[in-house]
Amino acid sequence: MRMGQNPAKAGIKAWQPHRLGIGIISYVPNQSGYFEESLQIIKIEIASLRRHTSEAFDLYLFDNGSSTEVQSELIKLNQSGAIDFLTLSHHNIGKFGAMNWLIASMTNEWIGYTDSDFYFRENWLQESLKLVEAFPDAGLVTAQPNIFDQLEGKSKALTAVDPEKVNVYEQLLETDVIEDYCRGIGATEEMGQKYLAQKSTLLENKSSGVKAVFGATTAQYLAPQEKIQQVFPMPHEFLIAREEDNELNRRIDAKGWLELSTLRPLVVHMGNHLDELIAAEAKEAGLFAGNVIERASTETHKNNPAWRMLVVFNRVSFLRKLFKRLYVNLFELYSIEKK
Amino acid sequence: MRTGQNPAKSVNEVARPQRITVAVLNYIPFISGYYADMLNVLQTCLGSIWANTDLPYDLMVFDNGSCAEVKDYLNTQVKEERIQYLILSEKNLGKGGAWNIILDAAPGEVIAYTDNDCYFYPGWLSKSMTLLETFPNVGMVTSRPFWGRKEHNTATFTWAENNPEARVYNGKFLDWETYSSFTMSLGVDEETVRTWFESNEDYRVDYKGLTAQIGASHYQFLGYKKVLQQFLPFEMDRPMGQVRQLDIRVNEAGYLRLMTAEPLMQNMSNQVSPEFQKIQKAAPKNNKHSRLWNFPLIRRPLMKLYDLIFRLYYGGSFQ
Repeated sequence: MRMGQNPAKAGIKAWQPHRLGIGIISYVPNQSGYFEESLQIIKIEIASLRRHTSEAFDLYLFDNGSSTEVQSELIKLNQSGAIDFLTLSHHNIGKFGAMNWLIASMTNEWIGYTDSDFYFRENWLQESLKLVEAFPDAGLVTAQPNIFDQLEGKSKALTAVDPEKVNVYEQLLETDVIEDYCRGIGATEEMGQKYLAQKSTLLENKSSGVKAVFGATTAQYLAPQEKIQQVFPMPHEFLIAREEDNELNRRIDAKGWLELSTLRPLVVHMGNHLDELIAAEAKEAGLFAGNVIERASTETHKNNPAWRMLVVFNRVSFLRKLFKRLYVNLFELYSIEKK
Repeated sequence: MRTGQNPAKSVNEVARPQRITVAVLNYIPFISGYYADMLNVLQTCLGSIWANTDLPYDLMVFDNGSCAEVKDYLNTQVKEERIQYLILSEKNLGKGGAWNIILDAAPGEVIAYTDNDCYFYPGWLSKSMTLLETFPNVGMVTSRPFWGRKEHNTATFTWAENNPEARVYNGKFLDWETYSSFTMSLGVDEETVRTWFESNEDYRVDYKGLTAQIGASHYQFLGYKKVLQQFLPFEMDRPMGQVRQLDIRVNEAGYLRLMTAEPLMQNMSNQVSPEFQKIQKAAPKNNKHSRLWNFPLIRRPLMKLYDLIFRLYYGGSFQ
């Protein structure tokens, strides 16, 4: 039975949400192979957000079934105040299953979303908001020039742009911008050359002169809550699928809202490996004090018998396919069903 | 930069949530004073859910800024597969703020919400679900009968009085023990409770062979998520006190508010009395198959092989 009076009922004010909420989805099922550096990358991402976001915000992190060791580290970040709201899911409910959850639970006026492997640079927020101000029909804004055409040339919003107010034209992006992007996604030389030669669609507000690249990525974006909540919930069949990402782009476009990105990379994709350049940038900002893990060389183990045997077997087409299947099967066994 | 291929991209299915999400709101800022026995209360509440819930469900716990000791306990339950979704808020959002998240984010089609000091008896969920699914246009079902304010249930009375298949009637249907055990658990003295018991009547409705008491409580209820979402957002300006808005909004929107005719839950408040059996252990969902694969002599070499294949295809150091 109740003994005494609950002090929480004494009229104490509850915490109020900030104008900006930023959501992250994490998934680090183990700390080897592809995911060896992922926890460290998440920590650098959060540190860069806290350092380089120009106003106070609420950080929501949905952990989509990471290992118990990783979830324990995330709890420490929650207890230290680096993460305001931490959701620990026992299951991986897919990227969009988790994003449905995040978007529904964020009560902020501005919703930011990012995958768990982006580095945020200074002014990312101011420049993103500047685009929304210059283009009021913006539905999604990414703080890195968009390279892919997720809408496959079929944008309804772009055709509806008022030519009296906005110039639409094509232009090559600056070389260092493309190189920064290609490094982030681990693009091959061939892909890099293709992107360097590819023109992007730009929009320019005629009165303010503010320019934006047409297109935004669902890996990192800023959106007004009243708009983004209209296109959610999204279908979620897979853990990660390009088609589900594109569906979000299509829904935003179908509403007649523009998808835009900044001309300079104010966020950069760290991926699953912290490379020398981003590590140096993070070190200079005081966000990282460790050493880069060397992952490029296999020289150190070329005499290992197990490795040599694998290399030989890998020459046989059938065994190569078998190894790749085994890689996914072992991942499913120890990650999707890890518990 | 991205190195290699993320194996998650090759997996063709994701975990599907259960139809029902049982959601518990918890707040234990410290383990002393009013909250001295609250961790024990929480453990007993969760234990009764694990032991006495008779339909498939996912358990979601929203922790509204509790102390580290409580969060550690909850995290242990996630690791041991007894909690499927745990939300840890670093700050206290108030009950309304927590509801804004719980009622929008819970993945189930049906949300069974409870405060953290509720003890559930066997069969509580299936019997409550029967009311939810049999009566039309139901907003809330609470798993226990008690006396409630008539003005919060006008939609239910209107429906019952105008529906030829429904029969509404009143009388004294709760015995003293059932009535007083709940009301006195809220800290009301026995004399007052006896006065209420003698002056109030219960209102019930029969429909399609089922009997429900008219009324419901924001303290514990279940409802369809799509219905409950209509009443969001709730004001967040106080840790507690705005909860009656839900009772009012559900009634004003014309939805039925019902309670089971028998007591299927009890309020423990901030102390666990001896009548409540403390059940802390529930069988995790792991089966023998997954335990075998996790045996260290099997797991370690297979994980090593996984790592080797990753490096074979995508480069990397080798320890």
